[in-house]
Amino acid sequence: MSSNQPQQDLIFFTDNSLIPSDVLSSQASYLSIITHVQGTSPTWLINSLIETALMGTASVVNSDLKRIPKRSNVLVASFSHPHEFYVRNCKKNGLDLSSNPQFEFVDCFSTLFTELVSKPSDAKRDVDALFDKIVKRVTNPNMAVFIEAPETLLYATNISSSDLLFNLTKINKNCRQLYVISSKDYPQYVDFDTTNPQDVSFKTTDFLVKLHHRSSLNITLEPLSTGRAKDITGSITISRGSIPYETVKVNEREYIYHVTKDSNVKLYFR
Amino acid sequence: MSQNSVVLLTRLLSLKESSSFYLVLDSLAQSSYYLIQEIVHNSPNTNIIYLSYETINRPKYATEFLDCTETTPDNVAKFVQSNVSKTNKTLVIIDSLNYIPSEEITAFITKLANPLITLLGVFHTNCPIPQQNTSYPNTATLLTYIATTIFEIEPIVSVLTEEELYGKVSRLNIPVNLNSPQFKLVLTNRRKSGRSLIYTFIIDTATHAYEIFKQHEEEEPIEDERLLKDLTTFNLTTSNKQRLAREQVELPYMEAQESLGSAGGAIVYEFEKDDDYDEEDPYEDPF
Repeated sequence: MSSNQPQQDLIFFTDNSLIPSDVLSSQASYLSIITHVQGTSPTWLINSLIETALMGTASVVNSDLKRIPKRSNVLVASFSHPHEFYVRNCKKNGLDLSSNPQFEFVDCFSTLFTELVSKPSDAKRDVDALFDKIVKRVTNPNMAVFIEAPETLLYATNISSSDLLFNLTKINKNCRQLYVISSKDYPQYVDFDTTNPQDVSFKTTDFLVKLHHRSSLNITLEPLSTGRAKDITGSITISRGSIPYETVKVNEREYIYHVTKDSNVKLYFR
Repeated sequence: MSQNSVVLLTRLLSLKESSSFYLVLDSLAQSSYYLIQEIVHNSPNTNIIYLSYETINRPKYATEFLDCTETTPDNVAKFVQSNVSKTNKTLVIIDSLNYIPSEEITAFITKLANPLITLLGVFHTNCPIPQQNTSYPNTATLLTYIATTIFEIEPIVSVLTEEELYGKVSRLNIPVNLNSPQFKLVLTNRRKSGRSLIYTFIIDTATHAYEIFKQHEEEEPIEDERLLKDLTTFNLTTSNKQRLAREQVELPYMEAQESLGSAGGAIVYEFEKDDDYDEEDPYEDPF
């Protein structure tokens, strides 16, 4: 099916951009959410967004974007990958993150339960301290900040969804564009019918629903509902969040995409 | 009737109708953002106190803004009472009531209540509801008991059925064309008598147009006689003349209503020419 259709550039906004300059330089703070399930890892998308925030281009998914030298700083705080993971994967995007002074990384993965949160059954103070550490690294409000897999804290510690939302808000207040990347596997993590507040799915569902009510842009990655296909990895839906952007409009669109063996990404309109 | 309902909606949106607590029930498919914008648009010169549990950016229309994430309910109430305007109407917007536990919600609302205040609270209906061991009602139910006006917001979706939409949203696959400036609004207004008025509208906040929502009636299947042609050698269709004649046939029941039923419910038997009736025979009486 895909071979008959023309390949498309990925865009999020009606000005044909992925991260508009108006957003990075605005007075208001915005939240975007990238959700995925097992089998549709958003690594290629995060790498492209890091590239476009740092230098304007997104070489893997959009050939039209122009290079803007020293566009903005980027901070990535990941609860699921170490620094080397991003350094290695972003080489495909023409980035050397190990020596890029605009790029900062907070490793919330390697020593999460050995140093950062030493007592998961009483974790609130440690988690608050960890997020305070991240907030201190947001030195410039025009920074694009990516928090990957913060929901890990909900199922691995005793903190509540409100505690986590409060800490994410602290970060969002200090930057103009925050991306939260979260898994939403059904029914393990997301289940609207859950009623037990101690249940992992209750905490995660409550967290994700409330987070979506703060969001301006939702990016959903899903495998094909019809089953596995050799030439299609999944679908990506770009939709408006609960709070609209003031100066730009979201270009709502549904794509299907294919991540090839050599990590190229092909996108087609659905 | 329909005119009255639009007038009622306009009066509520411009805070002219006496109603002290507006409850807005929204969802991931259609947020309360545009409805609140519409209320603000309709209520100029209003003192607006914005209580934020999840909003990061202070809205431009807010006269006062309080970040409630680090404040106790008592301090929130003190802040509100100290900022109530004595000259203008005061609208207090709570961006989300979901962060207040159900056992504290009535006390919280009571503390904010004031004859000079119109309270507007948003409740996100998609948040999971914790099961309670007691028979005490959950937050959403309690709020619907207290509210004097309830706005239920739903998206206008043409492509997906309600079931498909819920299926997608419940797995957090947010489809396109949601959270739009045009939406469906179910208004429940409680009168002082206790009577509830319920109307459904289509709201377009881009043009500020409100119209009554009309349920699309299922179209009657049109008799297509072409389908009956060439099926058999018999003629299954009717000509225009035959159809006209068929429509003019007076059905016996209808005829009976006109001539006989006019006698006020009495049973009337009209003898026909072949009836053999003997007046002296008591068993001959047909009744």
